[in-house]
Amino acid sequence: MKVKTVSTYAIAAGMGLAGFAGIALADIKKPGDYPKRPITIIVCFGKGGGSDQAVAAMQGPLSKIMGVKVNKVNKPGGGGVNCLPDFQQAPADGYTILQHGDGMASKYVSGDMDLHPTKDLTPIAITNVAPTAMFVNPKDDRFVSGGVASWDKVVAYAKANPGKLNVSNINVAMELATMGKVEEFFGFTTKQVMFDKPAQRYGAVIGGKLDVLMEQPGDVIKHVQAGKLLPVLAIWPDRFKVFADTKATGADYGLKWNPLLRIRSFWVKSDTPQEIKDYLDAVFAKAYQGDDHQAFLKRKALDIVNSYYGSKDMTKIFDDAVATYAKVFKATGQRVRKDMQ
Amino acid sequence: MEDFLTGTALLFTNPIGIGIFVGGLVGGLVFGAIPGLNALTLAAVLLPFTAWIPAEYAIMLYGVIYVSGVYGGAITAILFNIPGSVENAPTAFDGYPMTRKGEPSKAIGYAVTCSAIGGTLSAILMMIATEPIADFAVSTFGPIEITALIFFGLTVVAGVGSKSLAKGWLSLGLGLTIGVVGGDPVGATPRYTFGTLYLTGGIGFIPLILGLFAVSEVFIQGQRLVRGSYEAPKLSVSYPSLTEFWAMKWAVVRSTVIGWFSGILPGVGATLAAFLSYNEAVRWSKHPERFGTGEAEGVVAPETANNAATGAAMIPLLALGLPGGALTAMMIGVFNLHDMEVGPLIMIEAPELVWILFASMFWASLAILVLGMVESKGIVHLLRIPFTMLAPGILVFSTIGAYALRGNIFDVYTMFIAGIAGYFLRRSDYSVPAIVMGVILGQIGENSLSQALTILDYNFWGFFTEPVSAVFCGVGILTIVWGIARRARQYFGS
Repeated sequence: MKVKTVSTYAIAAGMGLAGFAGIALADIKKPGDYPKRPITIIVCFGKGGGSDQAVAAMQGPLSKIMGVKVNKVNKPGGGGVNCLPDFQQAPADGYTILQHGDGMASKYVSGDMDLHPTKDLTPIAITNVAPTAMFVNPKDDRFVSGGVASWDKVVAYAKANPGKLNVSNINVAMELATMGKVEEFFGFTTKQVMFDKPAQRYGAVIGGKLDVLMEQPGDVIKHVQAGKLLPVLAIWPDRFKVFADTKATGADYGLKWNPLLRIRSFWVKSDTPQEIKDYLDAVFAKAYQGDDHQAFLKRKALDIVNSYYGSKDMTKIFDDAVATYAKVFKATGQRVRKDMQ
Repeated sequence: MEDFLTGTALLFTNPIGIGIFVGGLVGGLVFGAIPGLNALTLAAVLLPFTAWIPAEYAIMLYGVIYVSGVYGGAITAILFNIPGSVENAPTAFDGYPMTRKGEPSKAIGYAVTCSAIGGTLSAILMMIATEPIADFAVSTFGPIEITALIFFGLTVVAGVGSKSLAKGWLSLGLGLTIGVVGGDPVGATPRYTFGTLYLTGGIGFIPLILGLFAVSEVFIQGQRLVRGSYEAPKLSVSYPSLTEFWAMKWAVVRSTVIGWFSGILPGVGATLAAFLSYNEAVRWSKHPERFGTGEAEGVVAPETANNAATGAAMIPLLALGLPGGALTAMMIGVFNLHDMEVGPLIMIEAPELVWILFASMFWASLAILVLGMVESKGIVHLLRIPFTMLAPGILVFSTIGAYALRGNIFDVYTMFIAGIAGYFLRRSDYSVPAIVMGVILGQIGENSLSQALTILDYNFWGFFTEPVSAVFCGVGILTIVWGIARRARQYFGS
């Protein structure tokens, strides 16, 4: 099954930053007196993880542009679903913004939640797009020798011990589908252990309690630089420049597949006044361009693919993602919500 | 030692540094004491501004707020049965009964001294052995061991605050049931939500404890007032004597170890430290039946442990970049704002920054001792306010606290429903502490249990084949058997 949507957009994106590079602070027109009090961003994943870092990196620039404080509230749990009631109960006034990701499409399709990502919500911006990789503990001599991690050894171990390879993961379809594809292609099965708190997810592999971590490179790059984790496989057509010695599913193993990508994005409720939505669209674009945020993207290796899409493009991407996840779930026998069967 | 002195010199040789240190100390104490707000609120408000102050002072500020905020929440827990933060909830179990017995100053004295001891010892531990301890913690404690640890903690809960073992277990069961309301932590399957959006998000813990503790207390005292049996708390400003402190030495040592231990576990932190430590104080006491009625050790244990966890929480943060809780996660943000990454390299790349943090947390713990001693003589005079004026104040204060958390009116309804339920439960001798411990330990434990069971292929026997887990499970089971045997002996003996 070819999965095109999100990954195709990101891989083939020619839009780059040029589309909004000309936005100046003076061009952003404030809708009335909005905002006049602090804005809260609800983050559906745990502290210290990629989503948390993505929001933290935008908080300062957003606050500077809008002139009000931007708060961040983390509510992890249920693979990114347990946060939604808090958001749904907030008024549609632009003062509560939801930060989520590709899980909004997959969880909608599976029926785990009922909010359509473009009909019940209005997409504002995607600020992170990242591919995924696998990591192991550098002290794990089953997979590492001479400081080099070998994916071939991981595969050999997994084949010799069916279902015993523990993968530290998160309960979001992007990761689960990606792991499923890796299992199918390499011909082994794993045991996936789900964590909502990033510290525990990473700590489980750093401490040697689990075998392999699936994560986006930028989220754990500091642990790699500190010698606590070693990349062992890039799930990507080519090797990542940031981990040039690490084999890639495409270039090194011949997997012809447009990989799914982790998307981190922002929404408001669909009945939020249009002028506030337009304002936020412009503000997010401006905040993304700032030097501080660009430095963050570079530091976190989030420059592998284009990472920014405004409201219009994000709407297209998520409409497409809903359709594609429905197709993938049906084809692989996974649960699909009743009105999409 | 040289590094510590360098850190101290950096801290106190610059007026800006001194100003930030004092501001953080007082701010943490004040915010920590206001229900609904806490040190996290202050830390979040200040976060963007840290970009404009030097990195070493920004990090130092967060260390100081963490230390003082954890202590600040004990004051209202002791005086008014309103825990300032979740990690101060067990302090109210015995701290407030001490106030009712006319010993508020003594309770605050224990809280302040033990917070200072716990915090100071924790800062020393942090200075001595950050990296090896962090490695030990993450390599020893995975989901299986954390689940066993929670089970171990839960086994003693039923004996707290209720004369009847059966009612203790029922209270614990109620707490565990409340804790599972909402989407499950793995698949978000709704439990006990009755199709309502509010319950789908889970029952807020702060509104729950405000209701069970503060609101129910107002109802109970109000009823006594109406019936003419109300007795105002007797006011005393007697500080605990050295002999009384000495009698607590093992409780302090045990709670410090528990605090360290909980603090270094990534994603766990001061809340678990306080609850586990209280449980262990009960487990090891010769008079467990006295807990919940104003036992000083019930204040000593959680207050030592929650402050001992503060320094320990810096260990996985600095050594591994793994935050133990919300405030340590914010500290990652502070590091990032100054273009730095936490992790082992920080000790090499910016040692002065790490040592100013260590030194500030050490000195903040000692400063709490001085500030707290002064405070314990003065703040108890709040109890002179007549109950007829105090009660509406507590209700208003609690209502604001419940609402301010996320601006949701349903949190206020939850608080009052919990208050009414708490009133009836307490009148019927059910244990509110057991309910609260069931909620908090159950929520932490459910996550770990689901992960552990996946690893163990849903084979419960696996908890007994992992050495660390086997010890916790074994001692936990022995505790249950011992508790039942003791009650049976009392029953048949009488």
